[in-house]
Amino acid sequence: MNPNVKKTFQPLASLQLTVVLFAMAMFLIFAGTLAQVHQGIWTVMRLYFRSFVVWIDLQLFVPINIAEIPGRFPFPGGFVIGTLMMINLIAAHSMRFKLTSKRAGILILHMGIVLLLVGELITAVFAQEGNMTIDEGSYANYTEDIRQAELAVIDASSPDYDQVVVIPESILVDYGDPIRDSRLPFDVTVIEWMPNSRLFGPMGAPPGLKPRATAGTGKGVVAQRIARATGVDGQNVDAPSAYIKLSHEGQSLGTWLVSLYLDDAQRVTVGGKSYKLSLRFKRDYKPYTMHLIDFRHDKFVGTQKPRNFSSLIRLVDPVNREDRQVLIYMNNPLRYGGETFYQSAFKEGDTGTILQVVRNPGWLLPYISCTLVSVGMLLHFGLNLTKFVRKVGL
Amino acid sequence: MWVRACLLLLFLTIGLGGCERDEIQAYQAPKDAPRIGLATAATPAAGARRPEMTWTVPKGWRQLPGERAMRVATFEATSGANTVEVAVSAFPGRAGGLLSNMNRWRGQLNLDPIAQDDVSEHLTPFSKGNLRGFVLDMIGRGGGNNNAPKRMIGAIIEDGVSMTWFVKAMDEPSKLDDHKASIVGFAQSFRLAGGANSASGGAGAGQGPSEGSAGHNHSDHAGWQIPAHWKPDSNPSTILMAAYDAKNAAGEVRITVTALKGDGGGVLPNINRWRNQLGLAPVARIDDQPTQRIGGQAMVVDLLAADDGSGARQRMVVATLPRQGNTLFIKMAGINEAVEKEKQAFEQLVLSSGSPHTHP
Repeated sequence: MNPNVKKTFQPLASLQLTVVLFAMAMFLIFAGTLAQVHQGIWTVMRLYFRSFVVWIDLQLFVPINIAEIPGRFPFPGGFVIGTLMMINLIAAHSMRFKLTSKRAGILILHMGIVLLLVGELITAVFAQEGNMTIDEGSYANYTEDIRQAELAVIDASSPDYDQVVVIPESILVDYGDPIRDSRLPFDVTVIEWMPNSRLFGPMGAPPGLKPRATAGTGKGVVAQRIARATGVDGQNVDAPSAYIKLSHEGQSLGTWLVSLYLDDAQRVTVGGKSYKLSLRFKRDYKPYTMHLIDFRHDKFVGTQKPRNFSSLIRLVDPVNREDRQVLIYMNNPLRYGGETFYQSAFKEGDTGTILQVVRNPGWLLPYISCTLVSVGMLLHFGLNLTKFVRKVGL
Repeated sequence: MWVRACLLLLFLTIGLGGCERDEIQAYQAPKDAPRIGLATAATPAAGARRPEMTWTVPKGWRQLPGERAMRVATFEATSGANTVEVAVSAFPGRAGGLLSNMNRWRGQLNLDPIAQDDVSEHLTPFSKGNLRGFVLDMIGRGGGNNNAPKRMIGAIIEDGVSMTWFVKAMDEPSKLDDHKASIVGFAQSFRLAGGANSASGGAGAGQGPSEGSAGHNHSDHAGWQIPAHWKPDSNPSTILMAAYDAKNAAGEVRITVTALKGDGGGVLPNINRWRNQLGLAPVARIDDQPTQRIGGQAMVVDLLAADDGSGARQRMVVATLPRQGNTLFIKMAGINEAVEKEKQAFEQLVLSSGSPHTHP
């Protein structure tokens, strides 16, 4: 290898870097685990492990009843540490390890680890997961990502389709300045974003909270910010709300309360045209339609213990000329078009089903990498054992 | 070497951080499927009205004056020297669903939230037509300085049209003992005015992708050709424009007329809603459902339920026609033979209701 290239890449292959990266990974996992006391697992995954940099609160390491510690510090996120680990491993093999039969086990083992890291990267970047909720007798053609919200402004004037403009949660949370876009019929200024919330009627609101909306369904309703759902407090999903101001050509259209709790879209009229306004879970529309023919929630006789959940679905995909019935039940998902549909939950009163829809192009990689690591370890220890047996003359 | 490695790490951390930000997106999406069981809420902005709910006020109760937003009525319930306040409020749609409302109320009693799987353990369900109700009785603490025990007796009632209604009384546990029966009886007395809580509501009653009733008055249907033997329903649901009952040798049919804003939720969702009401599988495209045109503008869908062996197959004929920015739904339902006998009169009604001469 060219000495200059070697000199440049040598630091990346250093064993010290490996040790430091492992220590940092352990610290990140430790901090991420502590963070789950106050944040849901998917929030922690996004902030700590599927990010380039994470800001870690000092308070995480000391219970607040012992001492209140303000401040936070940046730390490399999972993407940075994982990528560097991979580079470190590949660089070490290129520069330090020699390709010999004695090292075959180590080589295969490390290939497995690299594949595991690549698999997680593919999952983090490309995997999609959502819920498809279908009423019995009705159909659905989109999934909802229950970890992200979006503000949808819908022009429903066409009889055939809706013209939708969506503002993602990542823009809504960064509030203050008006959100302007030529595709939006009005400017949106987020006054307050509540990542998780609850609503009250004016008489039931906690002291100090008053209705702030001056237009729409939310007039007279009070929204209160509450702690994020952690999954262990009875609430699995955050229900965001926001107070927003709408304006068109400098003229105020009022303050509106938008919330996941307000099931139905509100109407905003601009220039004689009506638009629907709705804060909802992020949607992903599909080219196919799933009709729910029947949902079953069987119980053991004489008890309320569930015995079986199943959804009889009619899958209609005009593009691929599919029109067939499928029975989805626990441990028997439907795999279609690169997606897997699991029986996940059901609507109150058994009136509908909730399917979890997962697309993960990297789903096979963990299996392959674990196999490689196992084979590598067996080979490495097998070779060493053989060498030892030969040496001692057994 | 060490320094270089650390610098590289720092560079990657700072350089790659903060790259995650989504963009505003615009796209065309198919219209949503109709929600079964609950129609889309009529929002105040749409000018729609809250469905009229009626109830029977128990003896010893007095309605307090004054109107408050979202609060429909407030009662003072008296039993001897024991008086508690009972509030009735209404929120659009499902108002977040049972779990969130239960946990909201539990929060007011400083009780821990419960999980979805435990909801049914804390509720006593009841139903009346399309009305679906749940009674709950919880004891917690009121918070504040004395943190005294508090009890809440309440009911959550989904009206099957567009609102969720709440009945709530919160006071000292012993005070509510005397009132529980009357509060529960009051909640169970809820009914939609005009009988819209009957399971056989019209096009917009009970189920449907309604965009909110378009609003109407009796002059709207002046000039309609109504056969003499069709008896007008003098007290139809508030969301119906008109309703008629007709009797012939083969049986009885009911004809309902509803006007909904805009396209009334779209052709395909409505067709599938009607098909669902007759137990027929939904269709993927409008073309999959045979339709007929009457008078140029009206589209007629004629649906016949599968033969269940009872000898009486249900049939539904629905005409939709645009009218002054709204969509008019004229629906006739009954057993097949009875509907067939009224079909000609039905078509006359459709033709006359769409005529611009009779409806300037």
